[in-house]
Amino acid sequence: MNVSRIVSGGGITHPFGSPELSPTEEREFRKRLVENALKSLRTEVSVARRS
Amino acid sequence: MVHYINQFFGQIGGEEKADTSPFIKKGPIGPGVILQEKLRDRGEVVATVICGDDYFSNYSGEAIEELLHLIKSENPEILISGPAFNAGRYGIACGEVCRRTSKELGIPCVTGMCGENPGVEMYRKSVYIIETPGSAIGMKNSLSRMIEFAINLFERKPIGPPEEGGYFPRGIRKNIFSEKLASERVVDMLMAKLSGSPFVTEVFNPIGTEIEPASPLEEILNAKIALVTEGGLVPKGNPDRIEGARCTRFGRYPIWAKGNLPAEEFECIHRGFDSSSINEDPNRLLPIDVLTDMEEKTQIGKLFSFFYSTCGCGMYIGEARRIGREIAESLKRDGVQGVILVAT
Repeated sequence: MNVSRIVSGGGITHPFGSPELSPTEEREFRKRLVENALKSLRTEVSVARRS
Repeated sequence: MVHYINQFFGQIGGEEKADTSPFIKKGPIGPGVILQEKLRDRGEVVATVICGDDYFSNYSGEAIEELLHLIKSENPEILISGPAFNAGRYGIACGEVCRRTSKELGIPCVTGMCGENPGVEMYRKSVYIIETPGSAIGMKNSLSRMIEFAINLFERKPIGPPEEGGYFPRGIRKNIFSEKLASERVVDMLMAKLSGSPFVTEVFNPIGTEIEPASPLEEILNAKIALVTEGGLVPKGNPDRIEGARCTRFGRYPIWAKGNLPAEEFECIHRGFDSSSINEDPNRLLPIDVLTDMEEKTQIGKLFSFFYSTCGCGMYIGEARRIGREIAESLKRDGVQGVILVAT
């Protein structure tokens, strides 16, 4: 879909979660995904990717 | 022949007159005069039906009934709408007027738009839409092609496939005899591609636009970050009636309490997946707990206090573009610098 910054998430039904983990572990998992998303916002992307 | 146009081409006025309700005038007006010239003695533009773009979009149910009533009163044999070029609301009105008129009167109905017009994706399957340039500079040529196409339909002459007839594909497959087998054609195509020669695919990919990536966010520590999702998270009871499939709306909702997205206050209305794990903890869709924490620790400037939500289940591409544009405009007004767009 020509999106240039994509972070792989936890899955379609819980993109920022992972229900099989314990609450503490899931929160840690979510934190890492958010950090990745913020990192990708800071990353220079020079060329649009073709789908 | 009856011609449908908006308030602008109907010479009533611009945006300030966009709330004009439907009315009819005898004979051609504005682009209709060119239409009559192109028609020569083959027919007559007996009346022009006009409706303001805002009126049509705000009262679409009433507007289309009023317009149909006016069109029927002239008992036309052909209806032409627009062309709307790249005007979105006008394009949708032209598409709907053609669709309903052809359904109820069974007469040839033709409109014209450029490929970027959201009306194309919404109506190309039910209406003949002639491809036009993006602006009214292409008026004469567009009208000429629209009228010849309409006359061909009226005279039941063959219109040919979309690329020959100049109209947007209606998603219809027609069997034809080919001198070469599919296996030969596909190898020819591959050879053409490898040698850099032009070729035409037989299976079109509907997604064509390239999007320029936004420049990176330099000062994350001062940035206001917002959350946007197509995951269908809405306040319980779905106050804006966001549709769970083939969605046409989006909502802008306050984050209920900082640091917390309580399951009892929100629900996921997306009809394309099992929403139970998001309903159990909405932070699995929108990581508000983590972002609030980061805001408190000044790892980001600010978490924007509203989130935007729509539902990406079977959404038309044209609608998705419009919704995306409207959310982006709203985010700009909100002074947001960075967005995490959560897709399911």
